[in-house]
Amino acid sequence: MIIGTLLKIEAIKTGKRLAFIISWISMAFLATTIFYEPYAITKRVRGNSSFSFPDAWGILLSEEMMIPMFFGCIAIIIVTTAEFSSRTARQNVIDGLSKEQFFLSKTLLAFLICLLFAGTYLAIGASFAAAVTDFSAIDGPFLPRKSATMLLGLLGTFLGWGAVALFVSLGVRNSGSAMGVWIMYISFIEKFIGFSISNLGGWTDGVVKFLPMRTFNRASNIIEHDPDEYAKAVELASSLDMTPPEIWGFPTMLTAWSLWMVVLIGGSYMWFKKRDL
Amino acid sequence: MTETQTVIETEELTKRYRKTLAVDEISFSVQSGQIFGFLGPNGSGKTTTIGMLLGIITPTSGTFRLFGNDPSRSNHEARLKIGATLEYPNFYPYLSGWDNLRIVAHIKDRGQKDIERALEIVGLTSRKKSQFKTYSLGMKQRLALAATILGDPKLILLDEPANGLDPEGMREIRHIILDLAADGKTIFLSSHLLAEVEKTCTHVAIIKEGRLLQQAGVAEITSKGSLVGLKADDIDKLESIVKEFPATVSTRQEDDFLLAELDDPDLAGLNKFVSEKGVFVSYLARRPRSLEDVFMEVTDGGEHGMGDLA
Repeated sequence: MIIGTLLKIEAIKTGKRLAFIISWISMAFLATTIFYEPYAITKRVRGNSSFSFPDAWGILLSEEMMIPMFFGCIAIIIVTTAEFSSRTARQNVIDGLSKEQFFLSKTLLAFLICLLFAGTYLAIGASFAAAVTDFSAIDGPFLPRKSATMLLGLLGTFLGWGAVALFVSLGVRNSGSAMGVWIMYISFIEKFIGFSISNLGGWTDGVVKFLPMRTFNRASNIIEHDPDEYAKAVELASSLDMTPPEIWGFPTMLTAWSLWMVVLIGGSYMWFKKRDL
Repeated sequence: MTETQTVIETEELTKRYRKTLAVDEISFSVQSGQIFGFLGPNGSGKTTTIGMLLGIITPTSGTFRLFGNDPSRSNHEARLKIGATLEYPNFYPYLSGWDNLRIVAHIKDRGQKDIERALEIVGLTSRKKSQFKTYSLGMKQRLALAATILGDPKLILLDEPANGLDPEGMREIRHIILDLAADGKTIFLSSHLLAEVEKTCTHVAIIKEGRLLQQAGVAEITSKGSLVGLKADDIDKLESIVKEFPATVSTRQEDDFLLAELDDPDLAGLNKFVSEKGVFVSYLARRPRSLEDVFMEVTDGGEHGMGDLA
């Protein structure tokens, strides 16, 4: 029951927040421009089915998924930090929410924003793809297994990015600064940390690969989901006389992902709980 | 007659921010039905104390009970019986007054009718659809009061409710508070506006630099002792003589006057005593003791040797 109440409250707060709406619409606009091109090509070129289902999943679930992830995390930072800078978090607790309920509402909101942005992006792409798909000609499953696991993996990556954004928001409490810290972390701070640890010796490789962003991004690495892609990667590595890429496998990936989610969400909670509002 | 209940009880409540002691072992209690004024200069620890009662600031040490709750247990249930605002009104600026109250109503599990009633009480019905950021300060304070009374709380905590308001706004807020008290609510309000507190409150506690200096009924402390105003050419000499008068409890200078608190209102005796010492007063009259007098005496106690006036 409390979850329903928290969601209603967040819907009132977020649904009329201009910054959130703008980031959502901007992402939807970008998605439209991204998917219009393959749609137009497929429509114009006879016999081209690259953007028809089920092949379209390859384009829908490609690296461009970083766009909704990026915009979604910016939206999370905007809506979360605002609660602290304008002290409405304090007022919510004064009005009767416990600190735990308030934190739960922010966590739910962060996850829902991830789902909303990913869902919108995929819905726009899928609409274009559906428009050029002859569904009667689909031979085999509409959503192949490798695409289904990739979809789950992307969702895992998105939720991981969202958890980092939430952690940064609670720590920094200022939207501009939080965005800066989050962008710096995902773009180079973690790489720098990894590089610094690597310099300590070969034994550290096992640690570096499990840093949070690497773990989250691994969930949507195509070689984990598509055996053909993995075979290609092995072939390429061997042609370059390099070590073949490592496959984590689902159990390792899930364990590492879950651990980091617990650390980030749990850490955010401890941080929030301890702090005076 | 309704039975009184202790709704707030603090015991050596303390909050320390690194080297700063914001609240220093304060103990006080508020009974049901009281309009309790929490008086103190800016930065004296009023907001921190209320913040601890509301669960947004963690006490460094000490305990408190709300509605007789066991202090070792969570106060969340007890807090649901409280309506409160802290410092300035904290609402979502891009939402209307109505939408802001919808959020509060969801938290307090109240419906649309309660929102309408609260808006009506504070006189904001006509502007309920306007964005909060377009409200004047008085309207923001009234919306904060509407949020506070939403859910029919038993205890209302208000932190500087008249802060920044013009006299008309202060009068409106005062009337709303008195109406709520007449409705059976217990009111706890912090303020540094002494005249407002005197007009509104039945009981006061005075806090300075985190320490509780006094707690008593307003009538009790303003009727206690006898305050006398004196004037002479050499006011410093007059003060030193008055201090020697046996009935003098304390003295202080205010504008061109010397104010003396006597435990025996023997004005003729005082006049005689002063004149025998070679000083002739140009003015000598008993002055009604206001809350401001008490506040000044208590908070300046160290400087002028004021004792406990309770």
